[in-house]
Amino acid sequence: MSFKVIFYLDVISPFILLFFAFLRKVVFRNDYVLYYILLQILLNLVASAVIDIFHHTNNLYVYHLNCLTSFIILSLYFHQIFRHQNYKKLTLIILGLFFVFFVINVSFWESLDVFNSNSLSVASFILTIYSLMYYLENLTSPPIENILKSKTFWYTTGLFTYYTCNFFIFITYRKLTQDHITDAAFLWRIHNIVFLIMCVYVFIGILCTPSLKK
Amino acid sequence: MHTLSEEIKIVLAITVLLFAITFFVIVFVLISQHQHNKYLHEKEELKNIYQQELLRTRLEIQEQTLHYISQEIHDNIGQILSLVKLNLNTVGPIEDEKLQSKLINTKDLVGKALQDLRDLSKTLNTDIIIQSNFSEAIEFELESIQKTGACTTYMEVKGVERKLDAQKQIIIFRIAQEVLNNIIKHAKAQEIQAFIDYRLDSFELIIKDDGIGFDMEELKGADLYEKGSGINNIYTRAKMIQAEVALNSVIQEGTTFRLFIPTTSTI
Ligand SMILES: Nc1ncnc2c1ncn2[C@@H]1O[C@H](COP(=O)(O)OP(=O)(O)O)[C@@H](O)[C@H]1O
Ligand SMILES: [Mg+2]
Repeated sequence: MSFKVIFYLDVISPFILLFFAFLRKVVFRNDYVLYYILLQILLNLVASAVIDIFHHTNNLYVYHLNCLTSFIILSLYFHQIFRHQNYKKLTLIILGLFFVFFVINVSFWESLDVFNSNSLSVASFILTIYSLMYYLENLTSPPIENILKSKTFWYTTGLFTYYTCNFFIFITYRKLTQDHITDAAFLWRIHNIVFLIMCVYVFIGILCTPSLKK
Repeated sequence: MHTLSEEIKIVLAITVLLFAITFFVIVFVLISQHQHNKYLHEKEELKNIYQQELLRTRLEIQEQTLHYISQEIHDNIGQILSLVKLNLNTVGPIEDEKLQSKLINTKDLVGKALQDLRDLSKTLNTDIIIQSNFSEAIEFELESIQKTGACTTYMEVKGVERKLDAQKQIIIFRIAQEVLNNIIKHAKAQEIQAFIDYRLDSFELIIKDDGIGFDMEELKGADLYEKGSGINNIYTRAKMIQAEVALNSVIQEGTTFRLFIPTTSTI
């Protein structure tokens, strides 16, 4: 049972998170991270359903799709929060380059029925850099207000933790699953726990947004 | 749980390491942010202190100037007018009735000018303000107003009168003077009421008029130079001595001014 819970953590935790966001009547418009969380619920649910309900043997194409869409949404998020015009431009350029890379990767290196280590680890790497750029921007010209009360700080910290911690899992996972290493699935549970930690950070971020009820 | 394979262990170890690194990065960001904010805060504070100092010196210079003018009036113009009055007194009765009445008129005018100048000298003179009790100084001002016949005045003092800190007393007095001047200039009031309250830990001054009042919002938007900087000065001066001031005006009903200052050990 407890195993099962860890297994579904990547659906349950974001779901609780969004439920709470609804309770607080958080404004979804322009809140890309909440869209991202919503996307995770949908795609992780689809990924589980493909195996558990439709009894397909392979759901990895959902992860390909997840990687691309997540990267697009999060690029828009960083585009929104960066203050430097150059940083903003950079996110758009890199988004274009990433798309090209993604297509090439799927056509030549990692087909839709293997795990997409290449694209996912490249995306993680870029998002880690973005997070660090955000921190840098805030350290060099900090807003007077308390950063602990800043929504973007907690959101970015959640993304930073998720993509940095899982980087090595992402990069090795294709190899591990292809070689049929036993317990590779164990690593995916670790991934899910990190995902939960990200949800906690995003949760704190939601607490920082003034609710509409006031 | 059975033991994990080597590969998994390595990946796991590196993931834990990465987690530790992210954790340290976050802590580092939080700490440096905190330091930076503290630094900005201190800078702001220094700026404030500097501005207060600037304001204080400006007021000091102003007071010195007023003091100088007050002495000039008293020692020079006052003396000359006194002489003029004496001279006029020596001019004997004149046959011509028209001239005679003009002479008497002139004597009165000179006397009045002399008296006014003395009053002016007194209100300008910082020493007199410090030496006298605050309520006396205000009362003197109110009496001068009443003498001009512009409006009647009323004053009430509560609590035990005590000396305020000299610097603060001057500033509060100058503020009160500006408030009274505004009433004479703009309010068209029938009566001015002043309430002074010495409490154990605070001092309060309220000046009320029943004049035409004014629109405070309009004043906020207005150009400082166009509208005069009197009220603005009131606020900056009050800020300097950590006093709270509030100006409340209702059109056709009048204006109420309130000044409140906590008086801990310094006074
Ligand atoms: N007691 C009052 N009654 C009516 N109007 C007032 C009163 N005090 C101030 N005002 C209005 O506020 C304006 C600003 O006052 P102030 O800053 O002292 O400038 P000044 O006295 O040089 O005009 C005045 O022009 C007047 O219209
Ligand atoms: Mg004025």
